[in-house]
Amino acid sequence: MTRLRAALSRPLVRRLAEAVVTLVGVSLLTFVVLRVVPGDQITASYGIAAGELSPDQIRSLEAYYGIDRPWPVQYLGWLGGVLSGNLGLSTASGTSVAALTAQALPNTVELAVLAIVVGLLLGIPGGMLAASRPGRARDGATQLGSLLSLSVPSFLLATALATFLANQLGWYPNGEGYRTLLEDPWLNLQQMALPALVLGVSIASPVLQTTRTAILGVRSEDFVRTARAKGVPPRLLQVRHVLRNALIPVVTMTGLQFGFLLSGALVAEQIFAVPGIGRQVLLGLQQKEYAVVQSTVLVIAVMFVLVNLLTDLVYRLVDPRVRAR
Amino acid sequence: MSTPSDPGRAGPVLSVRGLRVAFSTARGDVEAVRGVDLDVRAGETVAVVGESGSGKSTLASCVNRLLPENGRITAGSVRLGDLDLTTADERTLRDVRGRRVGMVPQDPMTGLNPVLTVGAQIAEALEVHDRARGSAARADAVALLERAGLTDAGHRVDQYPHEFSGGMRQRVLIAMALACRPEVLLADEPTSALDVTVQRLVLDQMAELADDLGSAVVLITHDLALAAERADRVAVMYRGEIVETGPAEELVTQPRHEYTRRLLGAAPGLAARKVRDRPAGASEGAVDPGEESPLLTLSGVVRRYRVPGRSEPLTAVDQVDLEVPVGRTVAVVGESGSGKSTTARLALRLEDPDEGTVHFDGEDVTGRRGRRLRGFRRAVQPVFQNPYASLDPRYTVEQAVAEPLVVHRVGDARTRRVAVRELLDRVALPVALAERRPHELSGGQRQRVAIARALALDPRLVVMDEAVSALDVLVQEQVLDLMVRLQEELGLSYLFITHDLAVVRLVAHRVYVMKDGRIVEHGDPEALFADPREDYTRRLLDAIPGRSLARS
Repeated sequence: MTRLRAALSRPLVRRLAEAVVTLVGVSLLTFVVLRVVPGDQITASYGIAAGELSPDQIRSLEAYYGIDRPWPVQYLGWLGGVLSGNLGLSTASGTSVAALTAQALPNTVELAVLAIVVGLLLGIPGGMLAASRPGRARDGATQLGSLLSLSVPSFLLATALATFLANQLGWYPNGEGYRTLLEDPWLNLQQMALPALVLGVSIASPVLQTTRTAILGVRSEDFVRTARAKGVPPRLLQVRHVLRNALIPVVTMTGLQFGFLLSGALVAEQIFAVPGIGRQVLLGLQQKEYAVVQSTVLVIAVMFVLVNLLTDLVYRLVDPRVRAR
Repeated sequence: MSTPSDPGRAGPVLSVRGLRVAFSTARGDVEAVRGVDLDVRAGETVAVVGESGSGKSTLASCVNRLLPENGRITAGSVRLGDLDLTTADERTLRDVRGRRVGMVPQDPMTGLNPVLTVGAQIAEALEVHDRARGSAARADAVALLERAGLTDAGHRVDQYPHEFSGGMRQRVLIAMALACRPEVLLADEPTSALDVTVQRLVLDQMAELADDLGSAVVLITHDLALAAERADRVAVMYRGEIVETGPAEELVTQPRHEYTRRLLGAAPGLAARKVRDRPAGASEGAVDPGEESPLLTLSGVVRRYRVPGRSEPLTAVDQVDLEVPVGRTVAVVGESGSGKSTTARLALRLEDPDEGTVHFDGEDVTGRRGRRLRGFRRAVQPVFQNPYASLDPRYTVEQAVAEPLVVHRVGDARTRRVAVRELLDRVALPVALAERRPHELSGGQRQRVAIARALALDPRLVVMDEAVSALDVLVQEQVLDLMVRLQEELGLSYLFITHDLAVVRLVAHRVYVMKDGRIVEHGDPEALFADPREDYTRRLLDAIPGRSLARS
């Protein structure tokens, strides 16, 4: 443990500094984009009626929503709030963004974890299968499958699956109103099954390709020959020598995919009515609730950074060479 | 040298008869081994010597049946005791590998699994053959490492391969190969990737351990001198056939086959010196007559590197004074890490010295950069160790050789074409090769291309960083001859960086010995080799294989 910590100390400091810069950049970009896009919270709430508002009314509404102040003041005000733990308020629902996130984020994390599990379960054995006989039928079939899973858009797969299951088997748990894992574990897992499968399938493809390439690369390494010359039987050779080394790039790929999933799998959440972080951003955007969008995007960016740090940690566990540096 | 089974003597533990191996390639079948007979008796060391492509490694991989996938045995037999390995099934072979036939691979840097501790990898060799398990296997691994010459084995057994140097890793691989006391140990160029001084130690330890455990050794090497020194018997392999076999001493003193004679003549440890110091006053060609005027002078140069995780910078080059006279070859020798390559980079001005100055042709070029460095860049050209890595794989030979001309805007397309032809001619390459790409050339041809490229701008100094170290002896000899001829014709100066003192003896007018960033000794190579003052120089000299043979 101390060895691990010592190895981490220096790069960790550097990574944290990088993370802060990234987060500030993301928040600035979100802030500016939101304000450059035409329309604001007034037009969003009043629709065409906004055109009939008098200048006085508009001014008081702007003051109410806090968008009358100059941009830098708005930004710093928001940032100050975030730093003191106040992510802002959703004016439409009257709840704090922190409370909204506390509800949405666990759902997204759960979905992401399940999707990654599905993706790895499909991708790693698939990659091993493809690599076992490169260039042969088995390889071709897995490659074709992986290409298909990559090219079929997830909304298509999602709707097709949902329609089929609902019509043919009458099974559509997502229609019953979302329950969290704690409220009703059994129903929750049923509700998560389809989105996790759809997302998992789309992740499986890059995982499969990475695994296949890595295995083929490792297999021609000298140390594999050394192991064979020792008389190591095939199964042990495959797991201890080939796969252990081939997993190193797969860890990187998985971390990347996990990061994307945590930023809210909007399409899957929308189709399967999972109230996750992606939908929260979407609602915020529709309502032009600046604070909601800014804070939620920041939360997503933080998750991304955390996942990257986590990937680094796992990396250190699987590759002793990185540990030493 | 066929030994019919003599009832009085123990039969061979390994017996190869009429072995033929073919590789299927895109251009059809290529036969790599063509009817080889070889016997290895228990406890004996047999060396198989040949240049790359002679089939010697293929022969070795027939013994543990780890041929590349496109290779297959087409005829003959390989008998280990009573077992014919050519017809044995995979299960039997698995039982043979590691338990009855051990293998030490060529490159220790890539031969170990990077994610497992060395202890786990040695223990695995014992475990797969049910020799020991768990803590017993670990204890055996420690004992083996100790016997292979690893100090502090009890602690190091739990370390990972990247925490070991090349020599240490090779000891680990030797311990691993001998873990089950195999009858035969295959050592395929076991030390050619190691430093000369380490080579000797590792070979000694391997021989000792194999002897202790009663394993016969099949030593595969390109180095005839090394083979003659290490083996009881030597088999010389040429184009897939064994052209001569005999007791080591006999083979070196009375070679019968033409090819053996050529190998012996080219071996740097044995060959005659190629350059002579010209008597003072004698003028010769383009070379300045009389006293040596310095072309390149490094005075008191220091180069420090920051090492992550250490507060003290590492001094790679420490107060080095070095002079390359016009028309002469100056060699810098030392082990890896001695700072010799950094010295080369300083001489090329690829790095800036932290202290000291670099003078070229009487001018201080230390602080020059950009445009003002252009003239220097033209006059000083590098040739690196690995010609395959230093040539762009997508460039044809012509493009590669013409590139310096293009960069320095010399001539137009037509004159460059002519220049390239002349340069190829100069390095004795057929013009027909101009359209080829590096992967279509042999190692020696590639190095000639690299030399032609270096000569394109009419340089005055060529810096050769281990430029012949990766070449087979016969090819090495040709390239060295070429170097010497070009020096005579063009009055070139060479700064020759190498770890191989035997080569230095052949071509250098002056030699500097480097250790830990400092020059410990310098002078005329003949004098220095005859009477080295420093212990370190003596160790480097002793490490040249076949020194004893040269004297006899």
